[in-house]
Amino acid sequence: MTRWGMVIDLDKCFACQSCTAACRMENNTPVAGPDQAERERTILWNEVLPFEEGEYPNVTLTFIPRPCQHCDNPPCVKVCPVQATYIDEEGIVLVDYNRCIGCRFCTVACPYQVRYFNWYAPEWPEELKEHLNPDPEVAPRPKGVVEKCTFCVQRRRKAREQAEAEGRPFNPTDFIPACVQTCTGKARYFGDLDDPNSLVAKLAKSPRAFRLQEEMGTEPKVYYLKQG
Amino acid sequence: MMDRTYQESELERTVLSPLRQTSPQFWLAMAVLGAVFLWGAVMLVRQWILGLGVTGLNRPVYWGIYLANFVFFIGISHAGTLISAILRVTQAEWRRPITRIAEAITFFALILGLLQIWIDMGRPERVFYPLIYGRFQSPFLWDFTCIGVYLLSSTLYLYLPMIPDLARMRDHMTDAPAWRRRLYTLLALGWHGSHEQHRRLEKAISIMAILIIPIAVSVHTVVSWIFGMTMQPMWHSTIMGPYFVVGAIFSGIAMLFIFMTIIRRAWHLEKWIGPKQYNYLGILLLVMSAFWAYFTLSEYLTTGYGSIIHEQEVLHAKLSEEYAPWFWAMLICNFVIPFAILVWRKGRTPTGTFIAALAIAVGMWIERFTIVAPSLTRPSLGFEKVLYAPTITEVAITAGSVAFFAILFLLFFKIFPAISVWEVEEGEAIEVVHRQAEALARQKAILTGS
Amino acid sequence: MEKVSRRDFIKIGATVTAAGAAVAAATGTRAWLENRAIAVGSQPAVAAAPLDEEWVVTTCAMCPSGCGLKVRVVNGKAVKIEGNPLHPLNQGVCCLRGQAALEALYSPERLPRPRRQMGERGSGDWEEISWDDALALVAQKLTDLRQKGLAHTVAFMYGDTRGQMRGLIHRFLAAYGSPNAIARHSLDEQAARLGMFLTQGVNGIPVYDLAQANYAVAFGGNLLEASRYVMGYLGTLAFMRRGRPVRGKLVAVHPRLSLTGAKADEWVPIRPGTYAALALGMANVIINSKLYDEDFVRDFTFGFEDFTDEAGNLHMGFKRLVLENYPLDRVSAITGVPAEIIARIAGEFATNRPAIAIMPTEPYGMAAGNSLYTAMAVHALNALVGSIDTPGGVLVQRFPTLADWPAFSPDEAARTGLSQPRIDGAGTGELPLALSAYQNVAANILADQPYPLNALFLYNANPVFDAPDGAQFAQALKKVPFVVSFASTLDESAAHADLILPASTFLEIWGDDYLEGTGYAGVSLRQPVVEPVHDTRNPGDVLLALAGMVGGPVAEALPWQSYRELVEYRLSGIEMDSEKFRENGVWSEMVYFHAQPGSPAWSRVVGRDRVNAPQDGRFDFFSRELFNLLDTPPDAACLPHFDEPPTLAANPSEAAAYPFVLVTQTLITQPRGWDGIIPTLQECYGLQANRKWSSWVEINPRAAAGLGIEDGDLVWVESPVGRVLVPARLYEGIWPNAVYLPPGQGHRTLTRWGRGSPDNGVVGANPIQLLTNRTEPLSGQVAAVPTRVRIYKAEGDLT
Ligand SMILES: Nc1nc2c(c(=O)[nH]1)N[C@H]1C(S)=C(S)[C@@H](COP(=O)(O)OP(=O)(O)OC[C@H]3O[C@@H](n4cnc5c(=O)[nH]c(N)nc54)[C@H](O)[C@@H]3O)O[C@H]1N2
Ligand SMILES: Nc1nc2c(c(=O)[nH]1)N[C@H]1C(S)=C(S)[C@@H](COP(=O)(O)OP(=O)(O)OC[C@H]3O[C@@H](n4cnc5c(=O)[nH]c(N)nc54)[C@H](O)[C@@H]3O)O[C@H]1N2
Ligand code: SF4
Ligand code: SF4
Ligand code: SF4
Ligand code: SF4
Ligand code: SF4
Ligand SMILES: [Mo]
Repeated sequence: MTRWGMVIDLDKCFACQSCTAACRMENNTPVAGPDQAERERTILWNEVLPFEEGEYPNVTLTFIPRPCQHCDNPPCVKVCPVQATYIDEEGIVLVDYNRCIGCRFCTVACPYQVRYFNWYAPEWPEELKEHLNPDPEVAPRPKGVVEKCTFCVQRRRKAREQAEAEGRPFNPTDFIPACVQTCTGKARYFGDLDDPNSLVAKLAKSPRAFRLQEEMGTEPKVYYLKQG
Repeated sequence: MMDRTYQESELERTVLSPLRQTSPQFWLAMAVLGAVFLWGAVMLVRQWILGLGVTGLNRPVYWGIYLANFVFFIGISHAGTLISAILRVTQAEWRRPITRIAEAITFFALILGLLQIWIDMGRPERVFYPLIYGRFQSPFLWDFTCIGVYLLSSTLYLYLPMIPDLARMRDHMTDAPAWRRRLYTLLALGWHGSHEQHRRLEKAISIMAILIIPIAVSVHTVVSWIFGMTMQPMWHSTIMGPYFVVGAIFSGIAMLFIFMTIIRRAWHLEKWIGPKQYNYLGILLLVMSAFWAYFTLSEYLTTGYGSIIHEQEVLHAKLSEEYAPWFWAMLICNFVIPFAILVWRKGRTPTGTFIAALAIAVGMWIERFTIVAPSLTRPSLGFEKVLYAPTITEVAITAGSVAFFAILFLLFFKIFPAISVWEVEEGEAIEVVHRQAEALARQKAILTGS
Repeated sequence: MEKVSRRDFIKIGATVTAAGAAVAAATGTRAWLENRAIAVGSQPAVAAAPLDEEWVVTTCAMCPSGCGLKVRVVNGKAVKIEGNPLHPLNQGVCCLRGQAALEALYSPERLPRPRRQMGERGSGDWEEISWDDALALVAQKLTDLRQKGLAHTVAFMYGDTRGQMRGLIHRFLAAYGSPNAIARHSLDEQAARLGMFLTQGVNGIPVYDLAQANYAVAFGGNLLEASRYVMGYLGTLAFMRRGRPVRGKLVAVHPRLSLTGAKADEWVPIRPGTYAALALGMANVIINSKLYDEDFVRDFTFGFEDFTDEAGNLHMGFKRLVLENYPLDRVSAITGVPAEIIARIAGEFATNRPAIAIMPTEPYGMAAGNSLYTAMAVHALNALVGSIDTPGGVLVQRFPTLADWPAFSPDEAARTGLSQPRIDGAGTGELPLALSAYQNVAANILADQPYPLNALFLYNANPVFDAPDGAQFAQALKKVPFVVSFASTLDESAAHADLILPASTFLEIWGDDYLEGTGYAGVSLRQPVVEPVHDTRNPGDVLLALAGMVGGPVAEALPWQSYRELVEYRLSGIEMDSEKFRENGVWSEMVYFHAQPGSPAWSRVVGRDRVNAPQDGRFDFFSRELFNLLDTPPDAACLPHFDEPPTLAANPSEAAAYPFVLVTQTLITQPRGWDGIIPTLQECYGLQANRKWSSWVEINPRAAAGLGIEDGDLVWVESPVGRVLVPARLYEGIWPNAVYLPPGQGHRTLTRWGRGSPDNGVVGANPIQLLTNRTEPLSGQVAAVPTRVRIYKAEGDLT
């Protein structure tokens, strides 16, 4: 069985936020606008988190791009009272927007703050709606439900369809999430963690590899490679 | 069936009089409460139309005062059933005049508590989904289950001891409007006060009293697990369960004080609800305050001594940063004020306890708030301090909820007696017997010259 | 009786338990069932209707890098942008501005068709008109002026111009008869370009081969956020770190810790405006400890040692200059960088070759009034370690040979027009080296110097917003009788125009772009990915149409019907498969041929463009170009050296009143030309500061403590010429004496972005309005920073 995972090399990541923007353009996360942004309500599934340490002149800034960690043991799934959030057979954690009751238990249970809530119905100026991704999986989410990084499942479907149309077996490398494709430092890797020969599986075993808040036992499938 | 020569006792007359006539003050109170309720309702509808964006919630402070309200209301629901049950089981005779009030608080608090969750939902129209798609692993489901059971059993527990009184009203409230008489008839379930019926009722009530204690404890334990089962700093703690239960009983008693004092004044029940109740309950409140303080200390001290950075941050937020005013106000309200008043016998007067109880009600709400909000402002993977300030919508809906609670409560006691007449009478009878027995004994002693 | 009571017990107990169990059972069973269901199904099945979908390649224009893009077009709408994997610069990746370009294409702020100012200029009283009417109006005006012998009083100010567009503009003006093609390069790359010219003899922006370098020091220049070839540098830096056996090191020298500083291996904070001193200090260490490349310096440079000229006068060489004037302690005092750090970095630089010293290319960071010599000083380090045109060194960008512009003969009107001086004074008098002096235009217009200007065109240029003293520019625009803007949105300068001929975005037009940043030659294609969203046109087409309408030699010089034709004509000089070109979106030579020092090829990378100095393949430490150009210059004037920035040196009383210096730094979230109105970029705007849709001022916490300023306080940042109101952001990563404001904000947006926002609001504040306008001698580079400011809390002072 395929078990999708991601590796992000912090040594090659330049905190450019291209992944953040790519994710928005691919997944139709709505524009929050100045007022809502001021209230910490922007919806960007893959934010880059800055951490500042030290005092002038010995200051270090560390940046961690943070998509959903697609935990193998996801607390968000456990707490959802209606099973709107679930982990699919290939390890991708998803939200059924038609089921979510908007209780936001998962958002507080996720230790990575990757889950976003639609405080209002999503809004775009009329003209801007033209560029929304027409893939059905990313149809704008209604107000009152939770959403988050899906590892771009629509791309997985399209890759499968493509392979089928071409009459060849689906190869895990056919499927690249938007943020991985655009990454300016080529710092992001994506693939099948269960295939020991895949690049991600190898990188995940690198001595530089670590996962966020590993002590929580959530078993993330997003690995990071240490800087330096 | 009707005994026209029936002479109402003073108790019954007093208790039933508010059911018969309504004072202008009552209407005034209702008007004020109604207005507040309406304000909340309008804001709630607006929130449903626009979305939860009208609240001050944000990322990562996904939960705010609705959740605090939820915990608070579920907390005070322990007033009633639990207290009256404990007192019943321990056969504290002074409980009799106040059990009904306590049980009513429970009933309405539970409804209001559940309502808060509904208010907090992003998709309120999907409120029944947990029944259809429930995941039992989710503490929310445990909550719905426990609260549901608790609500059912409290309703029963409120209802059962009311049956004899209902029968009495069916029989004597001939002046009441027809619908009410029909209601009383219906609810009285053909009670005619036979010995057999009495025996069964007493039995049922005592069984319920025993059953309800673990249910009540489970409810608030489970409520605490909503928080405890996440890995948020200062939520993920084993003390949460007992801490919540203690807090619940504590706030429940306070709430009982508040409402019994109001009802006592408004319904003129001073003769039955008196110093004895205030004194004993006051002591209980004092003990709970001490318990609460003890739990608070254990919770904060262990966090303070630990060195888990994220917990430290939340702790600082509460002790010295933006939540410090809340935290210290909570300590003053929950411990300093009640202690200062209640240690003294002289303090345990209706006025004294009322003040202490008000302080505790406020303090316990703040406690709920400082459990919910600060942890969320300092997520373990955060890089920025995030603030949460409730908006006017949340204030309105909260005020509306409180008003709704009061309205339900007052209306209830416009239809049903605030004191369990038969139980008090029974108590009086027991006392008479006691006194007679004592007198007899004394006489006997004198007679036998010992 | 016993029986009954037990029954009661059971009854009541059962009621309670049953109720509980019912709830539990309902939910629990369901849960179990659902879990099964989830194990088989996944995302709710969605019937995917087949989409009419294609991918179109083109070239980005959101910043000067010019990356290759691949656009997903569904049902005629552009819905996603990816990098073009075949483009050598970005190799399939795409930055966030490129990603967000769709929001420029479909921006609600775009001007849908030409419009004309009806009321007083700047009144905002617009009337939309047809393209025919608009073009007729402009052509009429141009013809009139030309006939009156006033062709030279037409000026064309341009910002970013890609591919053939620059050639077209210059040719148009040359044929028409105006010398006033004014590039905005004096606001950015001019000094760097000239620094390269005066030393290496090549007129161009240096390209740095990070992929093979072992050590690189970036002096200013926000390499990873804003440099000219940002995508190239991001990719090669990643490679330098993780793609090869030996990991290279990047040192970033900036007054403020930018992403470049944060992501570099070392950040060296420096006093603003003093890069040259640091570079010369490093040279001092390297020369003193004989770590420089003696062979290269001896054989391929000029002016290292003292020398005697033809007239027999002794001149100072670079070595003596550096040894005498830039000892470590002095340099440390000037720059504020500890002597040990300077010595260490100099040592590492000289011993970890190939090493590169990166000059601050283009910015407001290079506007300290000493930028020309700064560029020379930094570039001199490259010559010291022999990094000229070597793998891992400084490359010279090659360009493809295109088909020659057809010859044309200017008529009398054109010749007289062209013989007039330029309105910005570039190339003459004080500014002999300047190609343009954009920032001088306003003052000269207002003073009618050297003549009154009658018409002004603005293309990709917004001087009211971007130039220091923009208010003066607004005045100047009011004075010019006829102002035409090609703006796509109603920007601050277009607001003062008579006529706006809205440009299509780069996603809607034909065009080309040079491949730059890889060293080797190439071109990349710009083609419409969608039909124009509005009734807008490619300014290239507009210019060609105007040329036709003006007629005569102008039409003759520009014989093409459309800009596409022009581009195709020019590119026909390259031998390539045009079919493949359209498919791939790019053509390039794919390999960079390094020149062997002394070889024939060498003369194309050293000394190539010299005019007044020998093209002898020698790198000039001592600029012979300057020596011959200037009238008996002192030696120092021909050597890289450090001058105190005039803004700082000027006035001690000002220094006391305005104790901080303001620095700016372009952020990666800042596009060129669409600032302020691309919502996604606004929502990513200030990463470190966690600020979106706004400005902020960064101030060191210790400095802030002295002023009683806390994080988030609203403060005024005030210079002698203006003040802006912004929230304070305490930041450890800034020189204690400096404050930072992001440069891209302060635009008004007409759209209501999201709920609760105003629909005619200004996003943040423009720091450029705090700068005074000066011009650096020789280079014509703007000299506006560091500007002194003071900062104070806005208490009850919000008006
Ligand atoms: N993202 C993005 N990239 C762009 C552009 C864009 O708009 N957005 N525009 C392109 C253009 S046109 C240009 S010109 C370039 C500009 O890009 P860069 O050349 O990188 O210029 P800046 O980032 O403005 O400033 C460079 C450095 O100067 C420092 N600095 C500021 N003030 C002073 C000072 O007074 N003295 C000294 N010594 N240093 C100072 C700052 O710390 C900063 O690190 O970027 C190009 N790339
Ligand atoms: N506040 C501030 N001022 C600055 C700078 C800064 O970062 N901030 N940077 C400085 C530097 S380095 C430079 S190079 C200059 C740049 O300054 P300018 O040359 O003025 O460039 P921009 O402001 O990027 O863009 C100018 C205008 O071009 C228009 N435009 C955008 N796209 C198109 C198009 O496709 N076609 C046409 N015809 N017009 C278009 C837009 O209306 C935009 O307002 O500014 C300098 N001044
Ligand atoms: S796109 Fe790549 S380099 Fe840029 S922030 Fe994201 S992970 Fe880092
Ligand atoms: S990162 Fe959060 S949302 Fe994602 S799977 Fe883990 S717990 Fe769930
Ligand atoms: S918010 Fe939605 S997805 Fe999250 S726990 Fe509640 S119902 Fe489940
Ligand atoms: S995998 Fe897809 S959904 Fe997840 S962060 Fe990347 S682009 Fe967004
Ligand atoms: S670096 Fe510049 S040219 Fe390249 S994608 Fe980004 S904005 Fe476009
Ligand atoms: Mo620039």
